[in-house]
Amino acid sequence: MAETERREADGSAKEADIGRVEEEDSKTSDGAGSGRIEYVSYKDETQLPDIMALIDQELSEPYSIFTYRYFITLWPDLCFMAFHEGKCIGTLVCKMGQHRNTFRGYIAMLVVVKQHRGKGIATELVTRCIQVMRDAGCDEVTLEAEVTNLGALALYGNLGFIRAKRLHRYYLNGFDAYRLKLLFPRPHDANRMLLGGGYSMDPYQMHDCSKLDHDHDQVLFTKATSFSIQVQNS
Amino acid sequence: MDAAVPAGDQTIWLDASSFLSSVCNELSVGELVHGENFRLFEAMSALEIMDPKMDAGMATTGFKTFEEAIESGAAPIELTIPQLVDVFDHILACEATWQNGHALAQTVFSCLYLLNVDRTAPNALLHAFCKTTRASCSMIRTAIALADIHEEEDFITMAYGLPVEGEGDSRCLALLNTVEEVVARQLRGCKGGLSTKKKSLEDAEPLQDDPALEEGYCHAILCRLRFRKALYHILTYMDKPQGRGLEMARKHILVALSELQNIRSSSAFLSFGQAPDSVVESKERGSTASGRVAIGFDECVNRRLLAPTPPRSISILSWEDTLAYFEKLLQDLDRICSLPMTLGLEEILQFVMDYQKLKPDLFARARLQLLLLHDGKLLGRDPLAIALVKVFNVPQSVMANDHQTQAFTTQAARVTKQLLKIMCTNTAWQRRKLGRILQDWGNLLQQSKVTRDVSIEGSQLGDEVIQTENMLTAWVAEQTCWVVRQFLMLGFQLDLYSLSEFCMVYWYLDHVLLSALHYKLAKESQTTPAIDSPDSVKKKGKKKKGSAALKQPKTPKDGKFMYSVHLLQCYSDLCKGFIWMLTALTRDRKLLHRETIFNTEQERFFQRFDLLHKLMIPAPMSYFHYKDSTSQMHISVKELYQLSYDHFMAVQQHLQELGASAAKASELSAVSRTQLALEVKQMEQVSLRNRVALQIVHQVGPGDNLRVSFEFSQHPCFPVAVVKKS
Repeated sequence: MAETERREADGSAKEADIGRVEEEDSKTSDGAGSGRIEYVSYKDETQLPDIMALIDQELSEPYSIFTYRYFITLWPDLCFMAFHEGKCIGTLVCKMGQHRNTFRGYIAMLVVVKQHRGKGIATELVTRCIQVMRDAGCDEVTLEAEVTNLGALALYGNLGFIRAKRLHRYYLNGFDAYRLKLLFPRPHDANRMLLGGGYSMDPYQMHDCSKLDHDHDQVLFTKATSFSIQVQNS
Repeated sequence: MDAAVPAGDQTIWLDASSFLSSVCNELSVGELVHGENFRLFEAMSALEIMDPKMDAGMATTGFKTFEEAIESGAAPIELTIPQLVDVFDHILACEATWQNGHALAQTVFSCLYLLNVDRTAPNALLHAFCKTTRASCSMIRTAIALADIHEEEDFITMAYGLPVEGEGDSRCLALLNTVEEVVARQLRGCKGGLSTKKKSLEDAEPLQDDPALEEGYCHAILCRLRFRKALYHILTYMDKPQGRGLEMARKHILVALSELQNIRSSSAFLSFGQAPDSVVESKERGSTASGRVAIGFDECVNRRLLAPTPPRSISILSWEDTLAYFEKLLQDLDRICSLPMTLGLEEILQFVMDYQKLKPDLFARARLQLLLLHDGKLLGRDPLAIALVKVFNVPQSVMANDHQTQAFTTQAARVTKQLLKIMCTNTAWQRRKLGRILQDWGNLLQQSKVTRDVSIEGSQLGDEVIQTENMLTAWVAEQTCWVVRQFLMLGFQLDLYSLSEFCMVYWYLDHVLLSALHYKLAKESQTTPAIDSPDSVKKKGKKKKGSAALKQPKTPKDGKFMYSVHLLQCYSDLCKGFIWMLTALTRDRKLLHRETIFNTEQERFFQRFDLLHKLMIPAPMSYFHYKDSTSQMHISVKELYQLSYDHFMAVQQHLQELGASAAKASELSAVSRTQLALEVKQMEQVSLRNRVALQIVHQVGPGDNLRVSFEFSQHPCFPVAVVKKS
C-alpha cells in the first residue's frame, strides 16, 4: 500500500529560519494575499485532469489515473484545490479509514506550483483538510515525508505533527523518510485523566518514585558542589 | 483485416472504434465501465502496458536480450589491458552499488561477462576475475539472506533467474593464483628490463604493447587480482562458525586494505592521458580508475528480470565512492574479527551497541549477527539459556529443581535472542522493533514475579528460590531499562524529536536512567569483588518478596561494570542539565514554543511515551507529573540557570570517575573501549559549551534579544546550545 501512496509533499516554507515562516504564513492566510487565492473542495471528474496535470508535473512518481480515482472518488471531501486567477496552482489528495484500532486520516499528495510557494497555500490546504478529518471523527492523521524535505517537515511540525518513525531508504532514490503523525485530543479526555492504554492516573496525586526505586526530587536539591555562574568581565 | 490473431470459423473482426466513442459520449462525468471484480484500490497497482514510464520491458533504447548484445559485439572476449582494468573496476563499483540495496540485475549482472562466465574462458585474466566475483557475490547474498535483517533496506536476495552460481566456482582460487603468478612474473621481468640478458623461454608475454607502460599495468592488474583474492578469503574464513576463521580473516583484511591502497595509487597512472575535465569533480568522473566507460556492461539487458514495478534507472557508484565503500566495509569486518570469543552476554550487548555507532553497512551487520547467533547459540557455542544462567547467578539447586525458574530462563533466552538480532538491524528499523518487543519484556517481568508453590522440603531451598526470584526480577528490570534507554536515545540519532519535545524526552530518559542505575547498583552490591565464579552467590539474608532492594545502595568500589554505572550517572546529569536549561530558556522567552492549532503538548507526550506506559518498570510517568516537575514556579529563572550549570558541572566529575573505571574494565572489547573514550570527549565538550552558553544567557535579562538554538555537533544525543543575537 505504501508503495503506491508515496508522494512528495511540497511545503510552502523552505527558508532556513523556520521560526519566522509561520508568522508570514498566517499573515497571508488572513491578510491581503489570500484574497487572490480561491480554495475549493473537489466536485467532479471535470477537475481531475487539472489535478493530475499538476501532480504529474511537480512530482516524480508515475501515478496512473486509477490512483487518483481511488483517493478522489472515495474521499472527495478530502481533496482540495487552490485556484489563482482561474488556474489550479495547488492541490491536496487524502484518504481516511480504519487502521487497526484507530480511525486515521492519510495525506497522500500535496503540491503547490513553484511560483506560488512560500505564501502559506500548502498550509492552508492541509489545514482545511485536517479540519474535515477531525470533524469526521479521525483519531489521528499521518503521512510520509522525505527527510530532506525541510519545507514539508516545518509545515507539518507547525501543525502539531511529530516525527514518529524513520523509514530507512523509503524512497528508491535512497533517501529516508519520516512517518509524521498528528494525534487529536480525545473528547472524553475532558478532565484529562485518562492516558489510554488502560492506565489511568490521578492528576492530583504526584507520582512518587521513591516508593519504587529512585527519587527525582532528592536529586534536585542535592548539589555535590555549588558553582556560581561567573559574571564575565568584558 | 490483417491480424496477429486469426479469425475463427464463427468469428470475424470488426472495427469497433466508432461504436466505442459514441458509447463513451453516453457516459456522464464520473461514470466508469468496469469488470465485475474491479476495485479502485487494486486498480492502483495497474501498470499501463507499453508505457515506458511504467512498463519496464518497454524501454526503447538498448539491446533487448543478452544474445543480441553479444552478437552486436558489446562484450568482446579479447580486451586490451586498459579495457580489462576498466572492466574490473566497474565490476567492483557494481558490487558496491548492489550491496547498497540496488537490484542485482542492474548492478553486478549488468556485466555481460558475468551473465555467461564460461564464455570468458579464452581470456584467463577475465575468466578468473569473473568466476571469483560470482563466487564472492553468492557468498555475500547467502550471508545476508541467512541473517535476515535486511527487509527494510531494499536488499533484494531474490535472483530472479540470474546465474548467481556457477559450476566449479570453488576452483576460482586456483585460476586466480595461476594468472596472478603469470602477471607477477611479467612484472619481475619488466623491472629487470634494462638488463641485456637474453630473454628466457619462461618469460611471459607482455600484457600490452607499450613497454614503457608495462610495469604500471602489471601493478594495476596485480593489485586488483590480489584484492579480489583477499576478499574471497575473507568471506570464506568469516563464514566458519564459532569464530574459527576470524584470525585468518584478519590477516586477509590487512592484505585487502593494502591492495586497496595500491589500487588507489594506480588511478594516477591509469587516468593519465585522459582529457582533464576541470568542470567535472572526481566523484562524477565515472566508476573506473581511468575515468573511461567500461566495455561490456548493459543495464537494460535484464529488464525483463526486474520486479513488476515502474522501472527506475540507478546510478552505479563513482570510483571514489566504491573505494571508500570497500575501505569502510573492511574496517567494519575487521572490528567483528577482533571480537573476543570469550565475551559474556552483557559485554556482547555493549559491543553491538557500540559497533552500531560506527554505522556499519548491511553486509557487516549480517556477518556480525551470524557470528553472534550461529545455530541459535551465543557465539555459536552456548545455547542462550545456558549463557543466561551464568548471568543470572542462579544457584545450581534452584536451576535443577524449580520448574518456574527453568521456564523463565527459556522465555528469557527467546526474548534475549530476539533482542540481539534486532540490535544488528539498521537504526531506523531497530528503534521500531525495540518498541515492539517492549511488550515481551513486560511479560517477562511478570513471569519473574510469579508466586511460586514452594513445596520443596527444607527452608534452605525455599530461601534460595526467593532470592533467585529477586535476582531474576532485577535482571529483567535492568534489561528492560536498557532497551527503553536505547529506544529513547535512538530517537535523537534518527532526528525524530523536534526542539519543543527535548525537555519531555530528557525528563523521561532521566527517569529511565535512574531506574537502570538503581537495578545496576543493586546487582553490583550483591557480588563481592574478589569472587568471579558464577556459582557462589553472596547471600544477603532473607528479603521480603516484592520489595525493592536498598534505596540508596552503597557504591561498590571495584565491581564489574562500574564504568557503566558512571556512564549512566553522566547521562543522568546531562539530562537534568538540559531539563532545567530548556525550562529556564522557555520561561525566559529565549526559546519560543508556538501553539499548534490541532493539538497540545499533552497529545505529543502521549504519542512519545504511550508505548512505555504499558511497562511496570520503568514506572510509567504521566504528563501531569512532567508538568509538575518542570514548572518549579517558586524557583527563579536565574536559579534555574544555576541549577542547570551545576548539573553540567557534575558531569565533569562523573567523567573523571568514568575514565578511571573504564581503565580498570578488562572485560571491555576494543570497540567498546574506543567508543567510550570518544564519548567521554564528546560529553566533556557538551558539558563545557553548555556552561558557556548558560553564562551568557544568565547575564542577559528576559526577552527575545537573544535566540538560542541547539546543535548536535559533539554528541549524537546531547546537543550544544548556541546563543545568537536575534
